[in-house]
Amino acid sequence: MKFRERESTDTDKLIKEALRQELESVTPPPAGPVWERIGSRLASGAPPVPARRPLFWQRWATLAACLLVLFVGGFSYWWWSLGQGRHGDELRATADDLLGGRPEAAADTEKGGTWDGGRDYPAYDPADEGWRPAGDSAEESGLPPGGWPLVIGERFRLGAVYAREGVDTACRAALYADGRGNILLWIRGLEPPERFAGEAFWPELGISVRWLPAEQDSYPFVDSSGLPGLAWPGEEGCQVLVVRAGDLQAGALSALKPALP
Amino acid sequence: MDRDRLQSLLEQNDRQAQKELFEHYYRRTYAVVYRMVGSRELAEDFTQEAFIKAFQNRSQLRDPGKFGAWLAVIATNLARNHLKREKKLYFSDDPAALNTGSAAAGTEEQVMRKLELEQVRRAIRRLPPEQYQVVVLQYYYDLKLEDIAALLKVNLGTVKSRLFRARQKLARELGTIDGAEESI
Repeated sequence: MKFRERESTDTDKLIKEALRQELESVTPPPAGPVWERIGSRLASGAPPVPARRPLFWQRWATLAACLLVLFVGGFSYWWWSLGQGRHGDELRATADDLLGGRPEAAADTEKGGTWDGGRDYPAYDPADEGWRPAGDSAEESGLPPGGWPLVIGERFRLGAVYAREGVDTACRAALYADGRGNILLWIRGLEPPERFAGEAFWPELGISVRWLPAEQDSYPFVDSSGLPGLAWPGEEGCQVLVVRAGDLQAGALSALKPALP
Repeated sequence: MDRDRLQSLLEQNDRQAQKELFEHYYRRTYAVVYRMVGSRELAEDFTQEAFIKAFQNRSQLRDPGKFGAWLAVIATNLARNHLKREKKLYFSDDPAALNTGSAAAGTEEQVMRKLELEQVRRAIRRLPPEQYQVVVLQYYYDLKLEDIAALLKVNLGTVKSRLFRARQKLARELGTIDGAEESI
């Protein structure tokens, strides 16, 4: 059946009305017995706490706890940054001598293990965008030898690998995170858009993009959520690096791109 | 219920105040969660649990005016966790529940409108739980995107993305995909 043309505001009104009808057509069971069960649960459990302001000493305890967290966090950051600096090895060696040994965790990090980026950032779930897990290794994901680098831009580590739900089997994505709240999705095997200009829905990517002025051989854009991305044509079709969380700007993505094949 | 009355009941928080809040929000909270799980028993359990959690943790609610939406979030989060554990999605296609009156009655315009509403209602039932949540919060509770993000404890981009996809699906039912893309 073919419906008439409409404006998006009309669609909004229709959704609102349909949802209202949908919810108001539900007849709940009588409220009385439900309330009795709630009342008895509330009575048998912890008594409801009346709304009140924290006591004077509780505020100070909270402040002290915050300061302690800041101190511990600052020390941890200083300790971590020892290993990142130009003279990290010497400083770390000195510090290790002073503290009597080097932690195992530091040695493990240098081996370059795969980091599960999604686990610590529940705010971004690739499944929301139609991605499903596709195995962690290059062989499993069906990519040519080389697969996904374990690290890009020196600090973004490979999380999980994804495939697009539906009929498109060539399109693959990998999640990279830097452990500081920045999450990138690197997508390969996309059909390029009709043009790298203006604003349009990119069906393969599943989002609307607004193209920014093109660079040498890549095309920056902003997606419908306002997050930046970068597209460039490659041997495996069009590739995209898109920010999914954090505050990276389009310029930072351009700086990452030379490290990518 | 106006905001002052809500605030007063939440501060009071005795059994009488709780009962008044329950009676005011019970029906809509139950309806929201029932449309998600499709089972009267589960909807009742999650609604009951949501009220208990809300009464016990109401100090976490910063804006009393959003108590209803907050309850819906607690209840639908419980339902989402259940569906995730059970690894299933509930899809209802009960035609009886879609009865919005006889489609044959009224002018052509009215008939068309009823058919379109039925189409959208069917599509709403097929939304994944995450997308259903944001649609309910925006279109039923009239929340701003920022408020939805705060209540769901996700970032704004995630809310926009979920809403965009939900609207895409709903608009697709109406053959108005272009309109949905442009407005988010």
